[in-house]
Amino acid sequence: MGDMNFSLTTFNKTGKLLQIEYALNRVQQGKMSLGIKATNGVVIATDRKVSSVLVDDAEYVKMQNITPSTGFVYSGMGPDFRVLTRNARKAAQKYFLTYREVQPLAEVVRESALVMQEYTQSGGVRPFGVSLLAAGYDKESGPQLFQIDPSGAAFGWKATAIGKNYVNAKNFLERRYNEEMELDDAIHIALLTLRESYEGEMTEFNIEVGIVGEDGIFRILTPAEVRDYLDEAN
Amino acid sequence: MDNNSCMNPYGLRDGEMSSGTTIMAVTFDGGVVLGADSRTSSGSYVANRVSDKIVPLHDYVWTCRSGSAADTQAVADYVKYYISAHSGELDRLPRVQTCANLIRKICYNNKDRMMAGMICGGWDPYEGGQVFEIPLGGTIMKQKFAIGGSGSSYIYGLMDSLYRENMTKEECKEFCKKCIAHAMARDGSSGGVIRLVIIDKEGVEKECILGNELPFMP
Repeated sequence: MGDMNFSLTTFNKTGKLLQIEYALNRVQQGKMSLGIKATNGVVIATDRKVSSVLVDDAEYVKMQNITPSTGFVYSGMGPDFRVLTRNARKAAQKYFLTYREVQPLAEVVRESALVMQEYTQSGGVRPFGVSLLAAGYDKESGPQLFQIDPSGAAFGWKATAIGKNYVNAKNFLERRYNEEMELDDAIHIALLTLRESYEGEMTEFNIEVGIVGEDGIFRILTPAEVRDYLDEAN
Repeated sequence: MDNNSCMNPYGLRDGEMSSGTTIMAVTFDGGVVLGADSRTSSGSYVANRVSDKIVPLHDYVWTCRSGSAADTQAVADYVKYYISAHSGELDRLPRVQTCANLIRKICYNNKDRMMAGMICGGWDPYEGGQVFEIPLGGTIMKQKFAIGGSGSSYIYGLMDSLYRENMTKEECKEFCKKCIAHAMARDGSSGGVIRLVIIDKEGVEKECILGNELPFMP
Protein backbone atom coordinates (compact mmCIF):
# COMPACT_ATOMS: atom_id res chain seq x y z
CA MET A 1 0.00 0.00 0.00
CA GLY A 2 3.08 2.26 0.17
CA ASP A 3 2.99 3.10 -3.52
CA MET A 4 -0.46 4.68 -3.40
CA ASN A 5 -0.43 8.43 -3.63
CA PHE A 6 -3.72 10.29 -3.69
CA SER A 7 -4.47 13.73 -5.02
CA LEU A 8 -5.12 16.49 -2.51
CA THR A 9 -7.17 18.35 -5.10
CA THR A 10 -10.61 16.79 -5.33
CA PHE A 11 -14.02 17.98 -6.50
CA ASN A 12 -16.60 19.24 -4.02
CA LYS A 13 -20.34 18.71 -4.39
CA THR A 14 -20.86 21.76 -6.59
CA GLY A 15 -18.16 20.64 -9.00
CA LYS A 16 -15.42 23.01 -7.89
CA LEU A 17 -11.80 22.16 -7.28
CA LEU A 18 -11.31 24.24 -4.17
CA GLN A 19 -7.52 23.98 -4.11
CA ILE A 20 -7.42 25.69 -7.49
CA GLU A 21 -9.83 28.39 -6.31
CA TYR A 22 -7.60 28.96 -3.30
CA ALA A 23 -4.54 29.10 -5.53
CA LEU A 24 -6.28 31.76 -7.61
CA ASN A 25 -6.99 33.66 -4.41
CA ARG A 26 -3.29 33.58 -3.63
CA VAL A 27 -2.55 34.93 -7.11
CA GLN A 28 -5.01 37.74 -6.59
CA GLN A 29 -3.14 38.79 -3.47
CA GLY A 30 0.09 39.01 -5.42
CA LYS A 31 1.57 42.14 -6.96
CA MET A 32 0.05 43.15 -10.27
CA SER A 33 1.45 42.10 -13.62
CA LEU A 34 0.02 42.97 -17.00
CA GLY A 35 0.73 42.48 -20.67
CA ILE A 36 -0.28 44.11 -23.94
CA LYS A 37 0.18 42.80 -27.45
CA ALA A 38 0.94 45.38 -30.15
CA THR A 39 1.20 44.99 -33.91
CA ASN A 40 4.99 44.84 -33.80
CA GLY A 41 5.76 43.44 -30.36
CA VAL A 42 4.59 42.61 -26.85
CA VAL A 43 5.13 44.43 -23.55
CA ILE A 44 4.79 42.95 -20.07
CA ALA A 45 5.10 45.00 -16.90
CA THR A 46 5.01 44.24 -13.20
CA ASP A 47 5.02 45.88 -9.81
CA ARG A 48 8.37 45.25 -8.25
CA LYS A 49 7.96 47.14 -4.98
CA VAL A 50 10.14 45.80 -2.19
CA SER A 51 9.03 45.54 1.41
CA SER A 52 11.87 47.56 2.92
CA VAL A 53 14.65 49.96 1.95
CA LEU A 54 17.08 47.41 3.31
CA VAL A 55 16.30 44.98 0.47
CA ASP A 56 19.09 44.91 -2.14
CA ASP A 57 16.79 45.31 -5.10
CA ALA A 58 19.57 45.06 -7.67
CA GLU A 59 19.27 41.32 -7.19
CA TYR A 60 15.51 41.29 -7.45
CA VAL A 61 14.44 40.41 -11.01
CA LYS A 62 10.94 39.17 -11.67
CA MET A 63 10.96 38.76 -15.44
CA GLN A 64 12.79 35.77 -16.86
CA ASN A 65 13.81 34.69 -20.37
CA ILE A 66 12.84 31.20 -21.34
CA THR A 67 14.22 31.32 -24.87
CA PRO A 68 15.94 34.35 -26.38
CA SER A 69 12.61 35.45 -27.80
CA THR A 70 10.20 34.60 -24.98
CA GLY A 71 9.84 35.97 -21.45
CA PHE A 72 7.76 35.05 -18.41
CA VAL A 73 6.45 37.16 -15.55
CA TYR A 74 4.12 36.19 -12.72
CA SER A 75 1.75 37.24 -9.98
CA GLY A 76 1.74 35.19 -6.80
CA MET A 77 4.46 33.18 -5.12
CA GLY A 78 8.01 33.87 -6.28
CA PRO A 79 9.42 30.48 -5.26
CA ASP A 80 6.77 28.63 -7.29
CA PHE A 81 7.63 30.85 -10.27
CA ARG A 82 11.29 29.86 -10.00
CA VAL A 83 10.41 26.18 -10.32
CA LEU A 84 8.28 26.83 -13.40
CA THR A 85 10.92 28.93 -15.15
CA ARG A 86 13.62 26.36 -14.51
CA ASN A 87 11.36 23.66 -15.90
CA ALA A 88 10.39 25.74 -18.95
CA ARG A 89 14.02 26.57 -19.76
CA LYS A 90 15.04 22.93 -19.56
CA ALA A 91 12.18 21.94 -21.82
CA ALA A 92 13.13 24.65 -24.33
CA GLN A 93 16.73 23.43 -24.41
CA LYS A 94 15.61 19.84 -24.86
CA TYR A 95 13.45 20.99 -27.76
CA PHE A 96 16.39 22.77 -29.32
CA LEU A 97 18.65 19.73 -28.96
CA THR A 98 16.15 17.62 -30.83
CA TYR A 99 14.88 19.99 -33.47
CA ARG A 100 17.70 22.53 -33.74
CA GLU A 101 15.27 25.41 -33.73
CA VAL A 102 14.00 27.75 -31.03
CA GLN A 103 10.85 26.42 -29.36
CA PRO A 104 7.86 28.54 -30.43
CA LEU A 105 6.01 30.40 -27.66
CA ALA A 106 2.83 28.37 -28.06
CA GLU A 107 4.76 25.21 -27.25
CA VAL A 108 6.68 26.80 -24.36
CA VAL A 109 3.31 27.77 -22.90
CA ARG A 110 1.90 24.31 -23.48
CA GLU A 111 4.79 22.70 -21.55
CA SER A 112 4.29 24.94 -18.54
CA ALA A 113 0.52 24.60 -18.64
CA LEU A 114 0.93 20.84 -18.68
CA VAL A 115 3.12 20.89 -15.59
CA MET A 116 0.74 23.20 -13.76
CA GLN A 117 -2.18 20.90 -14.55
CA GLU A 118 -0.24 17.86 -13.39
CA TYR A 119 0.12 19.45 -9.97
CA THR A 120 -3.67 19.64 -9.70
CA GLN A 121 -4.07 15.94 -10.24
CA SER A 122 -0.95 14.23 -8.93
CA GLY A 123 -0.70 12.76 -5.47
CA GLY A 124 0.63 14.66 -2.51
CA VAL A 125 1.25 18.02 -4.21
CA ARG A 126 -0.52 21.37 -4.27
CA PRO A 127 -1.23 23.61 -7.27
CA PHE A 128 1.30 26.34 -8.10
CA GLY A 129 0.44 29.65 -6.45
CA VAL A 130 1.18 31.73 -9.56
CA SER A 131 -0.42 32.88 -12.76
CA LEU A 132 2.09 33.35 -15.57
CA LEU A 133 2.18 35.86 -18.38
CA ALA A 134 4.26 34.71 -21.36
CA ALA A 135 5.33 37.13 -24.09
CA GLY A 136 7.13 36.30 -27.30
CA TYR A 137 7.75 37.20 -30.91
CA ASP A 138 8.69 34.97 -33.82
CA LYS A 139 8.64 35.56 -37.54
CA GLU A 140 6.04 32.93 -38.30
CA SER A 141 3.43 33.74 -35.66
CA GLY A 142 4.25 37.38 -34.91
CA PRO A 143 3.74 38.83 -31.42
CA GLN A 144 1.94 36.65 -28.88
CA LEU A 145 0.83 37.03 -25.25
CA PHE A 146 -0.39 34.12 -23.12
CA GLN A 147 -1.72 33.75 -19.60
CA ILE A 148 -1.46 30.47 -17.67
CA ASP A 149 -3.48 29.96 -14.49
CA PRO A 150 -2.83 27.56 -11.57
CA SER A 151 -5.38 25.18 -13.08
CA GLY A 152 -3.19 24.84 -16.16
CA ALA A 153 -5.66 26.73 -18.37
CA ALA A 154 -3.81 28.80 -20.96
CA PHE A 155 -5.27 31.55 -23.10
CA GLY A 156 -3.92 33.94 -25.67
CA TRP A 157 -4.68 37.57 -24.89
CA LYS A 158 -4.51 40.91 -26.66
CA ALA A 159 -4.14 42.54 -23.25
CA THR A 160 -4.56 41.20 -19.74
CA ALA A 161 -3.73 41.79 -16.10
CA ILE A 162 -3.25 39.47 -13.11
CA GLY A 163 -2.73 39.99 -9.38
CA LYS A 164 -4.10 42.71 -7.11
CA ASN A 165 -6.82 44.91 -8.65
CA TYR A 166 -6.68 42.99 -11.88
CA VAL A 167 -10.38 43.59 -12.54
CA ASN A 168 -9.96 47.37 -12.56
CA ALA A 169 -6.84 47.06 -14.63
CA LYS A 170 -8.59 44.89 -17.22
CA ASN A 171 -11.46 47.35 -17.47
CA PHE A 172 -8.95 50.13 -18.01
CA LEU A 173 -7.21 48.06 -20.69
CA GLU A 174 -10.48 47.24 -22.40
CA ARG A 175 -11.18 50.94 -22.83
CA ARG A 176 -7.67 51.85 -23.95
CA TYR A 177 -6.73 48.89 -26.15
CA ASN A 178 -6.88 49.16 -29.93
CA GLU A 179 -5.75 46.64 -32.51
CA GLU A 180 -3.49 49.05 -34.42
CA MET A 181 -1.33 49.94 -31.43
CA GLU A 182 2.43 49.81 -31.90
CA LEU A 183 4.90 48.79 -29.25
CA ASP A 184 5.66 52.31 -28.01
CA ASP A 185 1.97 53.05 -27.48
CA ALA A 186 1.53 49.70 -25.78
CA ILE A 187 4.33 50.50 -23.32
CA HIS A 188 2.68 53.84 -22.63
CA ILE A 189 -0.70 52.24 -21.93
CA ALA A 190 0.94 49.53 -19.83
CA LEU A 191 2.53 52.13 -17.58
CA LEU A 192 -0.71 54.07 -17.25
CA THR A 193 -2.58 50.90 -16.34
CA LEU A 194 0.03 49.92 -13.80
CA ARG A 195 -0.10 53.34 -12.20
CA GLU A 196 -3.89 53.21 -11.83
CA SER A 197 -3.58 50.45 -9.25
CA TYR A 198 -0.18 51.35 -7.83
CA GLU A 199 0.02 52.14 -4.13
CA GLY A 200 2.42 54.98 -3.55
CA GLU A 201 4.68 56.58 -6.07
CA MET A 202 5.61 54.57 -9.16
CA THR A 203 9.21 55.08 -10.26
CA GLU A 204 11.52 53.38 -12.71
CA PHE A 205 13.05 51.43 -9.83
CA ASN A 206 9.97 49.83 -8.35
CA ILE A 207 8.49 48.46 -11.58
CA GLU A 208 9.86 46.14 -14.23
CA VAL A 209 9.04 46.39 -17.94
CA GLY A 210 9.98 43.76 -20.51
CA ILE A 211 9.52 43.97 -24.27
CA VAL A 212 10.01 41.79 -27.30
CA GLY A 213 9.90 43.52 -30.68
CA GLU A 214 10.44 42.63 -34.31
CA ASP A 215 14.05 41.79 -33.58
CA GLY A 216 12.72 38.77 -31.70
CA ILE A 217 14.81 39.40 -28.57
CA PHE A 218 13.06 39.57 -25.21
CA ARG A 219 14.70 42.06 -22.89
CA ILE A 220 14.01 44.04 -19.75
CA LEU A 221 14.09 47.81 -20.17
CA THR A 222 16.78 49.64 -18.23
CA PRO A 223 15.64 52.09 -15.53
CA ALA A 224 16.73 54.95 -17.81
CA GLU A 225 14.47 53.74 -20.61
CA VAL A 226 11.57 53.26 -18.20
CA ARG A 227 12.18 56.79 -16.90
CA ASP A 228 11.79 58.15 -20.46
CA TYR A 229 8.48 56.38 -20.92
CA LEU A 230 7.29 57.49 -17.48
CA ASP A 231 8.14 61.09 -18.27
CA GLU A 232 6.12 60.84 -21.46
CA ALA A 233 3.23 59.40 -19.52
CA ASN A 234 3.18 62.41 -17.20
CA MET B 1 34.95 -12.44 -36.48
CA ASP B 2 33.47 -12.95 -39.92
CA ASN B 3 31.72 -9.64 -39.54
CA ASN B 4 34.94 -7.65 -39.21
CA SER B 5 36.83 -8.28 -42.42
CA CYS B 6 37.88 -6.19 -45.37
CA MET B 7 35.52 -8.31 -47.46
CA ASN B 8 32.69 -7.04 -45.26
CA PRO B 9 33.23 -3.32 -44.82
CA TYR B 10 29.81 -2.74 -43.29
CA GLY B 11 30.01 -5.59 -40.79
CA LEU B 12 26.84 -7.11 -42.18
CA ARG B 13 25.50 -10.27 -40.67
CA ASP B 14 24.92 -13.42 -42.76
CA GLY B 15 22.21 -12.86 -45.28
CA GLU B 16 21.72 -9.21 -44.30
CA MET B 17 20.95 -6.80 -47.13
CA SER B 18 23.34 -3.99 -47.86
CA SER B 19 22.80 -0.82 -49.74
CA GLY B 20 26.51 -1.03 -50.65
CA THR B 21 25.91 2.01 -52.76
CA THR B 22 27.04 5.23 -54.13
CA ILE B 23 25.06 8.22 -52.89
CA MET B 24 25.57 11.89 -53.45
CA ALA B 25 23.98 15.29 -52.97
CA VAL B 26 24.87 18.74 -54.33
CA THR B 27 23.41 22.15 -53.51
CA PHE B 28 22.69 24.84 -56.07
CA ASP B 29 21.22 28.28 -55.60
CA GLY B 30 17.63 27.58 -54.57
CA GLY B 31 17.73 23.80 -54.17
CA VAL B 32 19.57 20.48 -54.13
CA VAL B 33 20.15 17.47 -56.36
CA LEU B 34 20.25 14.05 -54.68
CA GLY B 35 21.59 11.04 -56.55
CA ALA B 36 22.08 7.32 -55.93
CA ASP B 37 22.68 4.00 -57.66
CA SER B 38 20.10 1.21 -57.37
CA ARG B 39 21.86 -1.97 -56.29
CA THR B 40 20.92 -3.82 -53.09
CA SER B 41 23.24 -6.76 -52.51
CA SER B 42 23.64 -9.58 -50.03
CA GLY B 43 27.22 -10.70 -50.42
CA SER B 44 27.63 -11.17 -54.16
CA TYR B 45 23.94 -11.73 -54.81
CA VAL B 46 22.15 -8.68 -56.17
CA ALA B 47 18.85 -8.80 -54.31
CA ASN B 48 17.36 -5.76 -56.03
CA ARG B 49 18.90 -4.11 -59.09
CA VAL B 50 16.40 -1.27 -59.25
CA SER B 51 16.02 -0.22 -55.62
CA ASP B 52 15.16 3.33 -54.61
CA LYS B 53 17.67 4.60 -52.10
CA ILE B 54 16.38 8.17 -51.96
CA VAL B 55 13.38 8.46 -49.67
CA PRO B 56 11.24 11.42 -48.65
CA LEU B 57 11.17 12.52 -45.03
CA HIS B 58 8.84 15.40 -45.83
CA ASP B 59 7.65 17.24 -48.95
CA TYR B 60 10.91 19.09 -49.52
CA VAL B 61 13.39 17.02 -47.49
CA TRP B 62 14.68 13.72 -48.81
CA THR B 63 17.46 11.44 -47.69
CA CYS B 64 19.90 9.04 -49.39
CA ARG B 65 20.53 5.73 -47.61
CA SER B 66 23.75 3.69 -47.52
CA GLY B 67 24.95 0.86 -45.30
CA SER B 68 22.58 -1.74 -43.92
CA ALA B 69 19.30 -1.56 -45.81
CA ALA B 70 17.33 -2.56 -42.71
CA ASP B 71 18.97 0.01 -40.43
CA THR B 72 18.56 2.87 -42.87
CA GLN B 73 14.96 2.01 -43.63
CA ALA B 74 14.19 1.95 -39.92
CA VAL B 75 15.88 5.31 -39.34
CA ALA B 76 14.12 6.89 -42.29
CA ASP B 77 10.73 5.62 -41.09
CA TYR B 78 11.24 6.96 -37.57
CA VAL B 79 12.42 10.35 -38.75
CA LYS B 80 9.53 10.58 -41.21
CA TYR B 81 7.14 10.01 -38.34
CA TYR B 82 8.80 12.50 -35.99
CA ILE B 83 9.02 15.17 -38.67
CA SER B 84 5.41 14.69 -39.68
CA ALA B 85 4.31 15.28 -36.07
CA HIS B 86 6.71 18.20 -35.64
CA SER B 87 5.70 19.90 -38.88
CA GLY B 88 2.01 19.38 -38.12
CA GLU B 89 2.50 20.93 -34.68
CA LEU B 90 4.31 23.96 -36.06
CA ASP B 91 1.94 24.17 -39.02
CA ARG B 92 4.80 24.99 -41.39
CA LEU B 93 7.52 23.30 -43.42
CA PRO B 94 10.28 21.69 -41.34
CA ARG B 95 13.88 22.82 -41.58
CA VAL B 96 16.31 20.51 -43.38
CA GLN B 97 18.53 20.99 -40.33
CA THR B 98 15.81 19.57 -38.07
CA CYS B 99 15.40 16.43 -40.19
CA ALA B 100 19.15 15.91 -40.36
CA ASN B 101 19.46 16.38 -36.63
CA LEU B 102 16.82 13.74 -35.93
CA ILE B 103 18.70 11.30 -38.18
CA ARG B 104 21.85 12.11 -36.27
CA LYS B 105 20.23 11.54 -32.87
CA ILE B 106 19.09 8.07 -33.82
CA CYS B 107 22.40 7.16 -35.49
CA TYR B 108 24.51 8.48 -32.61
CA ASN B 109 22.45 7.01 -29.78
CA ASN B 110 22.47 3.59 -31.43
CA LYS B 111 25.95 3.75 -32.88
CA ASP B 112 27.02 0.40 -31.43
CA ARG B 113 24.20 -1.46 -33.15
CA MET B 114 23.87 0.31 -36.45
CA MET B 115 25.59 0.66 -39.79
CA ALA B 116 23.97 3.62 -41.45
CA GLY B 117 25.47 6.37 -43.56
CA MET B 118 22.89 8.90 -44.68
CA ILE B 119 22.91 12.08 -46.69
CA CYS B 120 19.98 14.39 -45.96
CA GLY B 121 19.24 17.05 -48.54
CA GLY B 122 16.37 19.40 -49.20
CA TRP B 123 14.96 22.87 -49.42
CA ASP B 124 13.31 24.99 -46.72
CA PRO B 125 12.02 28.55 -46.88
CA TYR B 126 14.45 29.68 -44.16
CA GLU B 127 17.87 28.66 -45.49
CA GLY B 128 17.20 27.46 -49.05
CA GLY B 129 18.93 24.35 -50.40
CA GLN B 130 21.06 22.43 -47.88
CA VAL B 131 22.95 19.14 -47.68
CA PHE B 132 23.85 17.38 -44.42
CA GLU B 133 25.98 14.26 -44.25
CA ILE B 134 25.57 11.81 -41.34
CA PRO B 135 28.26 9.12 -41.72
CA LEU B 136 28.79 6.01 -39.55
CA GLY B 137 29.01 6.95 -35.87
CA GLY B 138 26.57 9.82 -36.00
CA THR B 139 28.49 13.03 -36.72
CA ILE B 140 26.58 15.64 -38.66
CA MET B 141 28.23 17.85 -41.24
CA LYS B 142 26.62 20.58 -43.28
CA GLN B 143 28.27 20.75 -46.70
CA LYS B 144 27.84 22.25 -50.15
CA PHE B 145 27.98 18.73 -51.59
CA ALA B 146 28.51 15.26 -50.17
CA ILE B 147 29.22 11.73 -51.34
CA GLY B 148 28.79 8.52 -49.42
CA GLY B 149 28.53 4.75 -49.61
CA SER B 150 31.10 2.16 -50.63
CA GLY B 151 31.33 3.49 -54.19
CA SER B 152 32.23 6.97 -53.03
CA SER B 153 35.85 5.97 -52.28
CA TYR B 154 36.48 5.61 -56.02
CA ILE B 155 35.27 9.04 -56.98
CA TYR B 156 36.81 11.46 -54.47
CA GLY B 157 39.37 12.51 -57.06
CA LEU B 158 36.82 12.87 -59.85
CA MET B 159 34.48 14.83 -57.59
CA ASP B 160 37.19 17.23 -56.52
CA SER B 161 38.26 17.88 -60.10
CA LEU B 162 34.73 18.33 -61.48
CA TYR B 163 33.15 20.38 -58.71
CA ARG B 164 32.81 24.13 -59.18
CA GLU B 165 31.12 26.72 -56.99
CA ASN B 166 27.75 28.18 -58.05
CA MET B 167 26.77 25.51 -60.54
CA THR B 168 23.28 25.69 -62.01
CA LYS B 169 20.66 23.01 -61.50
CA GLU B 170 21.50 21.38 -64.86
CA GLU B 171 25.23 21.43 -64.16
CA CYS B 172 24.62 19.80 -60.77
CA LYS B 173 22.59 17.04 -62.38
CA GLU B 174 25.39 16.33 -64.89
CA PHE B 175 27.93 16.38 -62.08
CA CYS B 176 25.94 13.81 -60.08
CA LYS B 177 25.35 11.57 -63.09
CA LYS B 178 29.00 11.52 -64.05
CA CYS B 179 30.29 10.83 -60.55
CA ILE B 180 27.78 8.11 -59.79
CA ALA B 181 28.35 6.44 -63.16
CA HIS B 182 32.09 6.30 -62.54
CA ALA B 183 31.54 4.84 -59.07
CA MET B 184 29.12 2.25 -60.43
CA ALA B 185 31.74 1.22 -62.99
CA ARG B 186 34.36 0.47 -60.31
CA ASP B 187 32.42 -0.55 -57.19
CA GLY B 188 30.97 -4.06 -57.13
CA SER B 189 28.32 -3.03 -54.61
CA SER B 190 27.00 -0.21 -56.81
CA GLY B 191 25.16 -0.60 -60.10
CA GLY B 192 21.82 -0.65 -61.85
CA VAL B 193 20.31 2.72 -62.72
CA ILE B 194 21.07 6.22 -61.51
CA ARG B 195 18.22 7.81 -59.61
CA LEU B 196 18.14 11.58 -59.24
CA VAL B 197 15.83 13.68 -57.08
CA ILE B 198 15.88 17.43 -57.71
CA ILE B 199 14.31 19.61 -55.01
CA ASP B 200 13.68 23.35 -55.22
CA LYS B 201 10.94 25.68 -54.06
CA GLU B 202 8.77 24.80 -57.06
CA GLY B 203 8.69 21.17 -55.99
CA VAL B 204 10.36 17.80 -56.49
CA GLU B 205 11.44 16.17 -59.77
CA LYS B 206 12.56 12.58 -60.07
CA GLU B 207 14.76 11.23 -62.84
CA CYS B 208 16.04 7.80 -63.72
CA ILE B 209 19.01 7.19 -66.00
CA LEU B 210 18.90 3.64 -67.29
CA GLY B 211 21.91 1.36 -67.70
CA ASN B 212 22.31 1.94 -71.43
CA GLU B 213 22.17 5.74 -71.03
CA LEU B 214 24.89 6.04 -68.41
CA PRO B 215 27.41 8.77 -69.20
CA PHE B 216 30.26 6.40 -68.39
CA MET B 217 30.21 2.64 -68.64
CA PRO B 218 33.45 1.03 -69.81
